[in-house]
Amino acid sequence: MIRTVLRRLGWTIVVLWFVVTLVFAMVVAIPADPARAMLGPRATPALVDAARATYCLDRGVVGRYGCWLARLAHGDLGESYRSKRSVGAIIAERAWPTAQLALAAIVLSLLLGAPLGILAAVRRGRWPDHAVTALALLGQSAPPFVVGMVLLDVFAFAFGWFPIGGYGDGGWDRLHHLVLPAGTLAAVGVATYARTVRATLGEVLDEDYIRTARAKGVSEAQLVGRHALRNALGPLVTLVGLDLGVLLGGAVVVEAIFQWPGVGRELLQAILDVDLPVIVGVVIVCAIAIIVANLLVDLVQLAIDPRRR
Amino acid sequence: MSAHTHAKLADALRRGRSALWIGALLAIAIVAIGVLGPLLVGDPLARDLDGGLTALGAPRGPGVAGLLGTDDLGRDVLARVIGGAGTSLAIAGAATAIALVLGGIVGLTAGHAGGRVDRVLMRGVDLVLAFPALLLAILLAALLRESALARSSVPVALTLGLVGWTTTARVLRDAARTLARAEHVVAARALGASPGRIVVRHVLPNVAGVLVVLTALGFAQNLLAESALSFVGLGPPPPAPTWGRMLFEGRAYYRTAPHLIVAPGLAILLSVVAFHLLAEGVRARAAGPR
Repeated sequence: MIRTVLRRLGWTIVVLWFVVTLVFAMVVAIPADPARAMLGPRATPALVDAARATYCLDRGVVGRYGCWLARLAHGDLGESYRSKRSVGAIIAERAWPTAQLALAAIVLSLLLGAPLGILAAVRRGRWPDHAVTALALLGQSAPPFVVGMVLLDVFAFAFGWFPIGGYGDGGWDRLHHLVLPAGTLAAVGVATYARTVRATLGEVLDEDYIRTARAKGVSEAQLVGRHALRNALGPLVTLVGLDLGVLLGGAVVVEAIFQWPGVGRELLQAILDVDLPVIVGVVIVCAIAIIVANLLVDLVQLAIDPRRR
Repeated sequence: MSAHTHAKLADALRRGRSALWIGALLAIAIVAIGVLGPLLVGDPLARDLDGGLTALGAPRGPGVAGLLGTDDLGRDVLARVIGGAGTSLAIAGAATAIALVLGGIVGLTAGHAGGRVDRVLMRGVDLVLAFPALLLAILLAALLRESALARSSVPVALTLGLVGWTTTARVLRDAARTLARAEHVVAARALGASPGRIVVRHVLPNVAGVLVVLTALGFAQNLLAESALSFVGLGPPPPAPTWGRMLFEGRAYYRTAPHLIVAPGLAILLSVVAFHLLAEGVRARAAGPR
């Protein structure tokens, strides 16, 4: 058990190193002068040289790499070209809205996706199965902003049930503002989870121990609820961890549609402004968050499921 | 075999087949539109300055000017959706090809060589997989935008290809791993065939079905990813009309002129559904009755 945990921790550190190094390699590979980009076209040569020294741009690739690692280790992500604020501070104040959005989307996709998958698996080959399969196909094929705009048009403009965007004032108002963006973000998740549950539960239901239980007169509801579901939901937990990347990627689009003041909208603005430190900072912080979350998912599974140890 | 299982089996078979046929027909039609599109409609960049816009300068609705109306610059939306098909499909196709070649080389090498080479290569794949794909694509596209390639569609295709090869590598590695122990491969090796010959003559033909599924799924994924990149402003540069770019440009008008979103949105949705169905159908057929 302890060896497995230690190995997992070691792997996490390797992954973190790889991500940081890959980003560094990509930044170094582009032929642009960050110091000039940061200071603008009218900066004096002395100012440019000073900035170069601060960011180690006057050194070779190895020197810059060491400098980059040292700055990251101190939590220093540089400063935004546009607002001149520290990138770390910008991300820190945008992280919570995105975390709320992502959490709401995960909860929503599990709450909708799992029951749909169970329904399809229990009624295999009949119309509920076909309906769920078709719905899942649609959910996996629709671009997120098209889903978002349809939801916005129907539930915000036509019916007026939900606000058209914004962050809300906390409490119920926040929740009210959260429904449409989280629903949009959850569309892919609902489809994926429904399909996964249908497939895994379907397989489990074909197994011998289920047939034995059925032969012994266990009711269908008990069969699914107590015997099959437990073994079928394992892959789902792994999938939620793996999907975090897709989720944060989708958040960029969803936050833009619903004016949700999160990391994704900051990233979008940074892309429009060609604000490289912010783009790099957001990508690194999101990648680290996902890697750590996946570590936690694995550790929780190790604790719950003895077969994995 | 009970009547119930029998019915279920027949049903599964039927479904796999109809998915395959619908998917294949749709996919062929879409590719045909992409290739022949420019011949069928007018210039997607032509602006109709007299009839293309309302007196207030707003886009015209469907049916009023052209079958699908006009966009904010008075350009025919039908011409742009069909003219844009070629660019969108070409980008997704190029990205898929890059991913297939990269993933194929890594996966087949790992699966065929086995042992330490396999472990090292697959650990590498795990590393790349740990990086969130869309964020990696955004970063890569944002950086490539600064480079000399910026005025073309190359950065987008390259980005998606470099990000999307890992699934291919994994699946092909598993297939090659199984095949490495298959009798005909063992026999070929015993007869002195070189590793390259074994891969090309004995392994590749046997993974053809898997390759078709991977290609169709990757293609669908890349179509979606191209539109996502375009939506955040990192797609192919204007004026080339791609479906993603049309959504990006139309989103400001979606209340007053929803056709600017609906037309390219439906084009993407239909294409992605087509290639998903194709993949599903081929997979169901390859898996056989279960």
